[in-house]
Amino acid sequence: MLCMSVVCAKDSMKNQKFGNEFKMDVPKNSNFAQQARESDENETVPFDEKLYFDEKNQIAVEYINSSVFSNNTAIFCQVFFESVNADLNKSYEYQEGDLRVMEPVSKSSSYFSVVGKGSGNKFVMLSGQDVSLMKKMAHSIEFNN
Amino acid sequence: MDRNKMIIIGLIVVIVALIAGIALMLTGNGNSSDVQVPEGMQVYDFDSAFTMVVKDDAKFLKTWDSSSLGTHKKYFNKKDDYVIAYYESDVFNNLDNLISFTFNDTKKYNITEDEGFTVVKTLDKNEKVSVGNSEKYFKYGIPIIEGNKYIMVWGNNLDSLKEMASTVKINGGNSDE
Repeated sequence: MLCMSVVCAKDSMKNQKFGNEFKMDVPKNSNFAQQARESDENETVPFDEKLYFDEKNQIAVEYINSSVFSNNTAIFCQVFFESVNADLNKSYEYQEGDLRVMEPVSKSSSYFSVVGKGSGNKFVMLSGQDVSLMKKMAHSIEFNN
Repeated sequence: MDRNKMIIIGLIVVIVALIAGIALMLTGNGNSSDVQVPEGMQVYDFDSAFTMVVKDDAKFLKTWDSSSLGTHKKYFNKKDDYVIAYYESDVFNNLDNLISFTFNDTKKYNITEDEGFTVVKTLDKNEKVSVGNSEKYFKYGIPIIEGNKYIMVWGNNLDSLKEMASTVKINGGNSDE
């Protein structure tokens, strides 16, 4: 029965490469399109940042490679959570293995949870409402060296 | 969440993270820890301000706000009934200052030294700590101060509080020196 459920879980997912930066299991019905970001010519932020969004499952994925940060997934989670839930100042928060999870206390369709994973200077933040799906996705993240 | 919102969020993340990054460069980066972590426990990263060893399944109700007095965050663990309060402020820059400013009422608090920790015993049950939208009485509190970072571990089991407080590592601090 356990094997059957594992097969079922795998059957609903596909492995996707996100640029040359990382790969991750995503829902089979998803289409994570990279979002263009208008950059300022004078911008000198020490980041490589890419943003993807899947309209079908309403999940956003942000990749950040920073020359400044190292092992600071918690900070990015907090920043990302505050960005998608501007009017909130509380959340449930926990670490699950190498994942960082923040969930809104109030259940509402206008609030989003954040799941983050980091490795050295590389971070991936997922934002959406299906926390168990996002955790499953984040657990599968493999960063390229 | 639409595409435009995501793009704006991306911009905000970069700007805020840049500011936070500069702050980290100034205070010291990373959460390297030489703390021994027993089975069933984990080193929890409290927003890169400090780390502490907590149970593997620890889940916190976290609240935050910023004011002219500084940053303030609270992490309430309902299951094990404790609160970790974190303040970043130039108002409290040493323990004597904190005690004389906050816990100076001898009818409400009793201050003792216990195994190297300053222990605040709350005598007045009307003195409560805010947790989420409510307030809760805790029997003991252990303050830890390094520079402008001040941590208060509140709970009812003093031995457990001392155990947790002994594992606090403030980022950019000198607790492991």
